[in-house]
Amino acid sequence: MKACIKHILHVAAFLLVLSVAVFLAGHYLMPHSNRYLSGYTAGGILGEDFDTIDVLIMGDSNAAQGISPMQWYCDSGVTGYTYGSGWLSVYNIYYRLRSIYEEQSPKVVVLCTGVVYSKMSDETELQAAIGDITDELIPLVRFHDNWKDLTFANLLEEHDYSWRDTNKGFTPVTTVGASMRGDYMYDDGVRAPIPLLVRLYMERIVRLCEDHDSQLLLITVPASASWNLARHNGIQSFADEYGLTYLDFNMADLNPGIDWKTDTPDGGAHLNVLGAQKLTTALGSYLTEHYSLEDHRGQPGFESWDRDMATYTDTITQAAAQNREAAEYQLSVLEQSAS
Amino acid sequence: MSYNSFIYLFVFLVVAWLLWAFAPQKWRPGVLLGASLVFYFASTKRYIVYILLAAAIAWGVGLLLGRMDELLAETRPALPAADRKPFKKKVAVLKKMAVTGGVAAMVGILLFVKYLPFGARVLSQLMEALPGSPVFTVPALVQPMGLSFFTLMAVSYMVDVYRGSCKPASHYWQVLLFLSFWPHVVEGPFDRYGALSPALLDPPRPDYRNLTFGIQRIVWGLFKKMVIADRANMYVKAVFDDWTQYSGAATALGVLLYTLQLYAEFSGCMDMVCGSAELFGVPLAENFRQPFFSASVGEFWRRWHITLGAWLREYVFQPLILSKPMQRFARLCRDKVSPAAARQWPVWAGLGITWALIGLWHGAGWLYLLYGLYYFALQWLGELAEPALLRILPALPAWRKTRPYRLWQVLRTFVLVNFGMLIFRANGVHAALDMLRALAVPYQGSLLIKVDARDMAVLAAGALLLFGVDWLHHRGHRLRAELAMRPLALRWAVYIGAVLSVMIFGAYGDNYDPAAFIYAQF
Amino acid sequence: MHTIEEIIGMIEEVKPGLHPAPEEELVKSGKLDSVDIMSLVMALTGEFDIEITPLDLKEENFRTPQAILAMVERLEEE
Repeated sequence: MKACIKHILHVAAFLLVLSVAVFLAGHYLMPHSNRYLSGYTAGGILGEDFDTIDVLIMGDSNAAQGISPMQWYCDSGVTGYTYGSGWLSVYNIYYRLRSIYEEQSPKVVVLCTGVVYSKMSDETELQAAIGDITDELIPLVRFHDNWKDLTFANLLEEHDYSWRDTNKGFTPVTTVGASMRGDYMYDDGVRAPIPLLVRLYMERIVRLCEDHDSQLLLITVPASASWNLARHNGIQSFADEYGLTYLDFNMADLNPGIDWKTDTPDGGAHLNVLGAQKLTTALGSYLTEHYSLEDHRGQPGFESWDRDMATYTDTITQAAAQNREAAEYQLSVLEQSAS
Repeated sequence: MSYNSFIYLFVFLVVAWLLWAFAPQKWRPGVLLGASLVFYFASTKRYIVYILLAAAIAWGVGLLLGRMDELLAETRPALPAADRKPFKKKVAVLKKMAVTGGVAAMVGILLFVKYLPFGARVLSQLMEALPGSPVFTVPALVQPMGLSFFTLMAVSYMVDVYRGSCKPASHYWQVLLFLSFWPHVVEGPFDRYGALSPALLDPPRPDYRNLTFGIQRIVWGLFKKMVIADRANMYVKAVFDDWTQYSGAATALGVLLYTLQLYAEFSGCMDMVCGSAELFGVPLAENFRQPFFSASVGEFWRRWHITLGAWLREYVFQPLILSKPMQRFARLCRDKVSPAAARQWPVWAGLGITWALIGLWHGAGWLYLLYGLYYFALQWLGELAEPALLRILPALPAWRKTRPYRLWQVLRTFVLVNFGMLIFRANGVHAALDMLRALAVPYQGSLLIKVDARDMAVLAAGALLLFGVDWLHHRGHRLRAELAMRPLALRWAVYIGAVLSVMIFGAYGDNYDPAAFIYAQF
Repeated sequence: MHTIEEIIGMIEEVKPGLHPAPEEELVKSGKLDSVDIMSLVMALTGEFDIEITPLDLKEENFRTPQAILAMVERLEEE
């Protein structure tokens, strides 16, 4: 028995030292700038001043390419941030939201529900869940590949998490790749219930928002390639169960005027600038109508936002012009092939 | 459930070990059986029937053979002296029928599930020569996990009982445990019932050394699989899937990296499964013995996938050559040709058949047959050339004992094995021939195909470490035991370093394609 | 009765250049591999009136030329 206890203590001590080593290694492998903490420019949210974001959008690449919070600031002074990165799952989003709440207190959290049904096809639900949750809980696993960027010089450098994004998480895409899909929200008799583990984490997100006094709004960014009525119904029943508002911008009554021949760069998987502008306007007017959001223009503490307005306006005007050119070219190509 | 998955390592193994360790001694085999069935069912669902059926056939045949032996022992003394020998002969014939039936059924299942479409294709191709013949294809049946392994282990059980090498199992669940034991059901090694059953059915007590050594071996296997094999896979996949785009050095590097990948992965998997079994005090057979130090392809196949070669040698090659048809063939050779031919030709025929089977075991296709026959050709030419070589170079036997000559042999074997690997991995016979031709065409482009310079550095370091460990094993070092005697700080540094290396340099996550275990498809 | 020279002679035919002493280690030393052993078995079954079964293919039966001789004489009696 004595030997047994000795062994158990020995193993416990080893595991403790191992955990410390894993934690330290994770610390040294994290990116030095918050710019690279996540895909697109999601990491930029850590560079924003505390408690300045009123509307937080959480989603994947659909959101990052589809919602431009700076447009709201220019129109009505509402401060928003799109935290969107490729292939984020509900598990990722829960933990990211939790860490964002340490610095921000958004009044509205907008959850882009495309993430509920997206998973890499060669993984099972369980594998995806385990993989993502481990990524979030053990930074070494998430950032292990950064060893390639380490040099002796930057090994002992301090992390600098002050980088800001003038586009507030939005990435404008100006190419056009038409989707010829037609109606994709018809009833084909299929059902798409939310997988169990995903549902569990969605409930955790609901509770997290409640605990921090944020209103949770569910939306779906228009995506003809990956959305359908079955998924809409799956989300709708979740929203009904928890008394949440759900705006599906794929549905006919909420469609902000998306033209699938010109407003997508990749056949309906994402939106480009033309599409993003329409969606952002529609979502923005809903937000200002239904939530009491402050107009921060000219307020002290928001000077950088006021400055960024000019930069943003230039960027977006240029991008929109490029996009319109590409759209016209795409339309002419379609006409030629039709005739 | 794959051996390098989170669920296997941190849930399945932990729960299984705790249940096993805290169970009373006579329930421990039951825990192993339960865990094995859970593991198998999780991956195969309803196709578990195949292994249940195989275990039933093997157990039934074993019991029958045992019963016949008992009958012989009981009734023989009671018979009059004149009747004893004929009675023994009669029982021998019945025993032979029983084991032949059992083996035929088992092999039949394997042929039916795995080789039917290939057989149909071959038949179709042959019949194409005849006008108006129908072209038929047979849809491939779902192959249950480990089919190529457990059917052959069932055959070895039945034959071992027939030969008297082991006693028949009295209970069905004992045979089922032997076949379905989760460490060896997916990729082997091929174990013998007599060797494994004592540890399975009467396990040793939970042992701290088994536990720690087993975990260390698992971590080493994970390192080989995740840092070396999965990383090399990115380059290999690009060059072999799209072989027409590459030539010269790019193709050659692809072949070398595939050899590294296959060795790291298969031997790494063996480390993981042997380590897993070691946790429970079960000694699985070794499948690798530093194969790249071999001086000939024959020796290579005695150090690579050892248990497959041993199985074929004991249950196919030797019985085949000793069989009546082969003895008749030998007599024919002696009468019509020469005594030397009578000695050699049957052995070569047996060798050819065995190599063809080694190839075909890996897959139902012409490519795999070619793979096996490539090695047969090498071995046969080696044998044929030997007398001539000795005449031309009478000093050869003396040279063979020198170090430089041995080095030449090792390098030569390495090159020959790599050509074999090219055939094995290529996308079909035509692709293999294309790639062989392409080796002569220089490649103008960067060799950093799908891997960057840093990845190559990790691969090189990993290969060196692998070679170094093999070298130490070759010299007889027992690394885990020697490390256990070193001071605590050094030990822990090595263990923690190993775990961190797997976590940091492992080729997993968003930047990498997932790589399934290669041998699990056989 | 057979002599040890007959056995050694057969071994020489199977593997030219090998002339083992009667008590020389053949298998563990690697002087005869499994293919050589089978050729030797063919020679033995061809030359003598014996039947070798897979059960006889044990290392102890082929360890030295003396052991092979003993096995041949035993099998002839059966």
